[in-house]
Amino acid sequence: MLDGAPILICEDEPFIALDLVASVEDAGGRAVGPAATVREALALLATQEVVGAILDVNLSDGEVTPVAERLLDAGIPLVVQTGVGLPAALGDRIAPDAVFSKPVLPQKLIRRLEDALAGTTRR
Amino acid sequence: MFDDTFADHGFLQGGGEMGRRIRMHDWSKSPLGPPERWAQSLRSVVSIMLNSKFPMFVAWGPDLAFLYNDGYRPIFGARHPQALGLPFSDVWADIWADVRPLVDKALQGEATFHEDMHLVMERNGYPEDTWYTFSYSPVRDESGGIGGMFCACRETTAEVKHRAAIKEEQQRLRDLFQQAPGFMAVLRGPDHVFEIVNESYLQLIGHRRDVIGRPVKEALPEIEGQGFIELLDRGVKTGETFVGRSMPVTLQRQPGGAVEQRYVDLLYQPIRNDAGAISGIFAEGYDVTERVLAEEKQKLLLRELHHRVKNLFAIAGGMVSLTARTATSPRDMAVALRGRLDALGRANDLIHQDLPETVGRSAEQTRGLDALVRAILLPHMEDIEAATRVRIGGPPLDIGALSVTTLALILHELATNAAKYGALSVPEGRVAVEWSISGDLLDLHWRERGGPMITTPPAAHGFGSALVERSVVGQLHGSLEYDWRAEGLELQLSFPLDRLRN
Repeated sequence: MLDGAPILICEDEPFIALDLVASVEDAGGRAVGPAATVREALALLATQEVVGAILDVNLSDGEVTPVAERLLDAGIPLVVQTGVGLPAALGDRIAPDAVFSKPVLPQKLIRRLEDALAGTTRR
Repeated sequence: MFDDTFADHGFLQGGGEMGRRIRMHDWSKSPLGPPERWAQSLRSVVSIMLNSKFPMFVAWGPDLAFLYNDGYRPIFGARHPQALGLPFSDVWADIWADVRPLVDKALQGEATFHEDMHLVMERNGYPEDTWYTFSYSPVRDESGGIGGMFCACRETTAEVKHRAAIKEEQQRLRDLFQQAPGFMAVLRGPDHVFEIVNESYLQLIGHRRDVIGRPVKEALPEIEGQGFIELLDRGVKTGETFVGRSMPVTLQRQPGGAVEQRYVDLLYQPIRNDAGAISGIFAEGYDVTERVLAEEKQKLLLRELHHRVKNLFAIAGGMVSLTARTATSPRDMAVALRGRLDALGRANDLIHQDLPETVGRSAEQTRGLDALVRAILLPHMEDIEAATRVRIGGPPLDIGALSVTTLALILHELATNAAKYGALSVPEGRVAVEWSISGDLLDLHWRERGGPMITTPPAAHGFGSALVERSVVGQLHGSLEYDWRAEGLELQLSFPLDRLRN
């Protein structure tokens, strides 16, 4: 369970985004977002604390790379879902098992994120 | 048959058939008179003629009486043997106009020689093209004047025709080579010197005309380093044929111009001489640039299509989960989900018009906003009502493939809402969807009238409204403003045009 953990959601496709929000809430987490754009996501990160993130690669104003880099630099665990693969800049910074090919069940993304969060707490 | 005049005319001995005919001929009515009175010069020349195997004739006396030998018979055709002793101008009336100037020269003492002279003869009763190599010689009589003429001749019709046929065949092969749709070149020696190239080859290399006699390396310097010269070297060394498909080659096709990327299907066939040694390379192939580019374009389209399908499945997955969260019963869920999936499907129909060879599509269906609004709204009512209940209007506007899906789902949610609670929930309700373009913005106005009276704006918007808002703001970077009037909902939507073209 996410136990009220704030999770950033970046996804521009409304059905998927709202489903992710509901799924994070189902798992006991608190959804931050959903952000449909990189700009929106960076603005959220500037004002809110998050402990994990679910990212779509292609947002409506470009690739999610700046958001992912900000999170990776801060050591915040993230999972990625993508229809087209990973941007070159992120290729070797994200574990292959944290990258999912669309379509993917939200529960699967959340489980992987929970594992990563458990790992960071243990460390 | 033996002839008793033979003893008197020793000079007429031999000569086969024509010798016999001349001996037996009644010469008394001829201007030549009987052979025993013939001048010695005539006797000598007739004797030479009769005893030669070469086709010859003698024309003698004031009428140029015609005497010929066995070798000459085929030339006469059907006129043999009646022609013997008749005047030249009679036996060769058909060509007299052609040969008369030559005859006149001979009679004036001047010999002539002609090679393959063309004459149209009617020796067999019909006009025939014939060719002759012959010489007309004057023959002097005892007085020192010209008594007649002598001719040795050979018909060369068969040879001339044969030579013409060979020439024609060579020309035909040259034309085939020159006009072949594929490019061809023959390269000679270890340096691959251009010996011959055809039109297609010149076209490939950009109409450079100065390649013949020059090595490939020098005539097409940009070829070096692309692997072709190495392949030619190998062909000359090993005698092995090389076949390549869709090979990239960069060529400078305009003098001083930029190098250009082309693609070729290529064959290098080593040529062996009579001794079996490799003397060169026959290069042939096709410029397949257009085919290769079309294949690449198709691959891109397929990849794009693959992404779209994946995305559609992802959206559909989200729809299922999300619809399940709000549905009150399986039936309720099925209706809502079917509506959303159908809207997605219709949007997809509009998107895929930009793919080639989409079948079963009528011309008036376009990816324009007008077509999209119709495609999404009209299924919400009976056909017969549509014209009176829905007003659609605005300037033509093309919507990009990415935005069509989003816009379709926005319109679908609005229409569903109207059908459940608004103007489309009662038979007399009406909806107007109208838009205008101002600057770089699309303003779209949704107005419902004739539905149930709205007393208070709905407190919770629910998932439908959240979807609309996320789609408008998050995806299309637009804005929306609800106005819950008592007489019906009015919604003002605004989108940046550059987003809609995506």
